[in-house]
Amino acid sequence: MHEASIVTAILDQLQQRKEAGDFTGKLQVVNLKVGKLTAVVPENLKFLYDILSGETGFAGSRLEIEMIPVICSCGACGNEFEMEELNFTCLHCGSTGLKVMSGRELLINTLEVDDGD
Amino acid sequence: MATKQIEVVTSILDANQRVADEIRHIFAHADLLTINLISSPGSGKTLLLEKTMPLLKACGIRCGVIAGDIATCADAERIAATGAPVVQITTESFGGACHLEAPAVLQALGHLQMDELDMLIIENVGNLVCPAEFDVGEALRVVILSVTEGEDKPLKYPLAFHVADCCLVSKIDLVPHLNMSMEKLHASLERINPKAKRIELSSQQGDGLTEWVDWLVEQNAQKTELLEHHHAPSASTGKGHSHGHSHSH
Repeated sequence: MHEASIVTAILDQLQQRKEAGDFTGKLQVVNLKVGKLTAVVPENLKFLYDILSGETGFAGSRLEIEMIPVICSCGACGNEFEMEELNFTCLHCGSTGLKVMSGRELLINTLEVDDGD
Repeated sequence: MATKQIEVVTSILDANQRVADEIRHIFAHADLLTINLISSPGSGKTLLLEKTMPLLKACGIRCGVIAGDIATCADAERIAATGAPVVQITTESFGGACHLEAPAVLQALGHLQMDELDMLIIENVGNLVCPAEFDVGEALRVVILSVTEGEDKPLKYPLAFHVADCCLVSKIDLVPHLNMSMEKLHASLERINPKAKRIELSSQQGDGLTEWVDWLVEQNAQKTELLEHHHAPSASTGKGHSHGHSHSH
């Protein structure tokens, strides 16, 4: 359950941003981008966030997760394609020189915060 | 009440990544080739290391080990019996984590005489999921798949296999006793990581150990290049983290 480590890292970053004055109002939503080529179960992240954030100043906020597809670019033929089923050989030319362009993301993208008005 | 949206766009594992980058810098400075060894529990990491240490020594390579476990020092004791320097990390003090993170490795380095080592193998906590996501500053990743685990494991746990530089297929002496297909196992590995070096071995019987040690010796011979040019296996920063080495991750 390394999702606990990931949620703890999210909460640490939120705390640092709050202390740095990046936001002042009540935090409502943390929007993540999670690549499909990560070892992360999104439901576990949400579940653990609800539990672990309850012990912090961010109780009541929630995670929203946008899943990012695996997109590869072929170094040999230049073709760029989305990989729905993982297979790291180019569908067009058979080269194994694929570069993963997206799908490894584990990002905090945006925060939704009450603006106090 | 109205809400406003604040743009953040930072890697969640940024803190771990910073420490991993620091470790990578330390290894480059110490000219120390470090390998992150990942596999399921019971796939034979510790036995492989017990067999590997004397062979590396015979090749003139001084190799140390950092052994990661949730609890107990049993693995470290087994490896220490080979005469190799070992540091045990039990993740109990890091929240009982199911994987090693960079700060635990950084702390362990304080217990190693790095100037007396050519190579360092980090035996990660037995787990195919969690360790895959955490860079610990290594130059190379090696994943073990034992034949008893089933042919489809690379498809079920793709990240661990996808980011490996070398995939070891272990316990091949058991193949005759199992209802499994080596062809299917290799096909799974080929799909997830067609570029990785692949070695079949049996630590128990000795098959493949020479090929494995030869690969390590070869990597050690070219480590200056690996240490200078290798970037983190993690591309999770979202800032177009580049991979300077020749593999496609």
